[in-house]
Amino acid sequence: MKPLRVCFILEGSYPYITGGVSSWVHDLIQGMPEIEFSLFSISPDDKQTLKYKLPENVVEHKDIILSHLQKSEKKMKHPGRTLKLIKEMHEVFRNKAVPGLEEIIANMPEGFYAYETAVKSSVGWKMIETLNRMNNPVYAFSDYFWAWRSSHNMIFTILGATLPEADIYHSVSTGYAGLAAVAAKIRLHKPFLLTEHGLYHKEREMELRKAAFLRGYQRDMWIKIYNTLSRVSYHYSDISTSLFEYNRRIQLSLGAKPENAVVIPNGIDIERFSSVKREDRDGFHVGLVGRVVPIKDIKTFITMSKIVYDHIKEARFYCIGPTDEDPAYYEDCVRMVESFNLTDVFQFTGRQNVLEYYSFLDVLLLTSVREAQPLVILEAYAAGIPVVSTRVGNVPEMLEYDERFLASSKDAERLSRNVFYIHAHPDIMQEEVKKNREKVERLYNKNDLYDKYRELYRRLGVE
Amino acid sequence: MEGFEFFKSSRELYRPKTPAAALKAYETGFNPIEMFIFKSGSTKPLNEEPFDMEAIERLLSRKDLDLEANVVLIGIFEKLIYSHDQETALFAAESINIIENRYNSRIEQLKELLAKDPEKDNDESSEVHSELGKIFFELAMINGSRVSIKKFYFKEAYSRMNFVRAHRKLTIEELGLMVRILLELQLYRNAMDILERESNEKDTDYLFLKAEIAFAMKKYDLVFPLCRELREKAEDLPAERKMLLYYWLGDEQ
Repeated sequence: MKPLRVCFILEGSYPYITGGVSSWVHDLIQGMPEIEFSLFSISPDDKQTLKYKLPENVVEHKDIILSHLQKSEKKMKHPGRTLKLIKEMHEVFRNKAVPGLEEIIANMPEGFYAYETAVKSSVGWKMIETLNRMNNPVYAFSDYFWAWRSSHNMIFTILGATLPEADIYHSVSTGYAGLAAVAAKIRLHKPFLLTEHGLYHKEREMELRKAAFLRGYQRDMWIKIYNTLSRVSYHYSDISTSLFEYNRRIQLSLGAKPENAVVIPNGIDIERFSSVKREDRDGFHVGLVGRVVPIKDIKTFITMSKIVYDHIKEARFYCIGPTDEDPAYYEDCVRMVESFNLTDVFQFTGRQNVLEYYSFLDVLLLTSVREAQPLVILEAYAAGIPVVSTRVGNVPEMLEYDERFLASSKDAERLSRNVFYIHAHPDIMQEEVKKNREKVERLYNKNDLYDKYRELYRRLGVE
Repeated sequence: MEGFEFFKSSRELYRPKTPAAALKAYETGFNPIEMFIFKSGSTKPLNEEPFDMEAIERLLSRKDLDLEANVVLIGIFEKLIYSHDQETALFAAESINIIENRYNSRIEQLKELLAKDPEKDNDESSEVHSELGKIFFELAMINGSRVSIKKFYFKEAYSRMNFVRAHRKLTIEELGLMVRILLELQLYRNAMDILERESNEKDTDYLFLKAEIAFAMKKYDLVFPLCRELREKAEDLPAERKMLLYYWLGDEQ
């Protein structure tokens, strides 16, 4: 019997970028040797190097570069009617609904690249002009046009792409990856499985807010496009998975069908982390496992360390993770440690084997501004370490909404109060650690994660 | 249909987001005057609750924000961080990061300039250190409620300005900055010493800074004679300073 083939559609992640999503994909592929995988990677440019050795069951890998201008090899079918449908589609999108895209996509075959049609046909050009007049009339038309061109060029590139053959198209985000899966579903009549770790449109929105080069309506246009792409993915996905209930509800609010939207949490190798031999080391050891970058808010960790050290002189602090991603931020953090006179008690370890630190840490801190479902909390739970964290992503649920261990982002004082609590109550913490370990074994086992996806693949493959 | 009803019901009309855009749209014939009247009459202070998130986002997206705008924004975000709505709290925390990152990238650029040519003439590097001092001062001010971080940035600012002072005479703006840093660090005596040492003449800038130090030290009996002295030179003062002076003296001229 021919093995099931799943095509992973990936945008800005595996196998070129390391990180949570990439590790998840890599592990899933390795964990299911009986399934064949193909990869369709959407990348911003072509100068990327592989960051992972592809497992043997990856049978095909295809790249598409979003910034490239494509040449049409095929023609649009029924151009008059299709352009009329596209015009109507924009009106439906304006009302935050999702129109039927079946006929439009079916009329735009693989290898057809719609940019020229959009710009050169009178209907297409009139649409651009009208939308500019409605949204951007008091700013330069060129601002609108270039924003339209770069955003739509990427959409046209995706719609014109030929994906590897597969039985199931599994996209690990909405956005352009999700759109590629929608096109595959419509053209090839194959199921579309959507997995989201974070929320793509929310993450893009935050990046757009930071971007100072966008003027006037451009920012709104990009935000609308990303929101629309998410709506389209949720609407067309046969099954959408999220890591936790809060994100599932957001998926539902944007059009995912309740019966098809499921929660599948992250999982870790329980044995690996629970086998850590805990040693009773002198002092009180507080660690943060993560990259030294602003999103992890290491400065709040340092400030918290200062407050804790002022009260607990035997306390020692470890920032365990790579320091080379944002050298200026790292330098600032080092100077802050010096300025707080913590040099002798605070250590930036760089990239390390975390298991060594899990053997003696008394508290694991997480000061991040944004997280989805952080694996470090699961690892710490399995290793038997109490956790104090900011209230981000799924963390409140993971910490059972227990205010003894939660704080708002950037609230160093509250974080330190929580650390004081752990320091002062070793007996209570023994109980907590036991409870947390049971919880992680019950809910966050990597083998369960494989089983759940194996079952989803089987179900979709059979259908 | 005329007037306000017209634009409220028309879906095809351009919907400007700011009074300035509404005025431009009226002037260029895209919208009726009612849209401008509506938009310009609907403004409220940015930091008034409930917050107008769209207006906050719009301001945040501008790259040329001054210290005052950043302080207002951070003040708003620090309240929003405690919001029960997770999305709002996240937006607030990330927005604080955005503002801080903008400062950090300017710092990075300036540090790169220094690193490129460590042997650079001290006059030239003093300019870079002076700019760094100003940025660190602003970073301290926007971290007003986070005492430890604030103090850290004030110290950074102080060390940069001290470098400048060691290599050349401070300009009056730099002297003002140095004095304010020391006042924030509650080093009042040092602030007074530096002012006395760095000022060539006892002009109105000197008198204003001296009054500021005396006020920070709560020595109000010293502030008053300084203000009187300033009043004698009021003719030369810019309008803003004149107003400040008369405010403290409690008279009209």
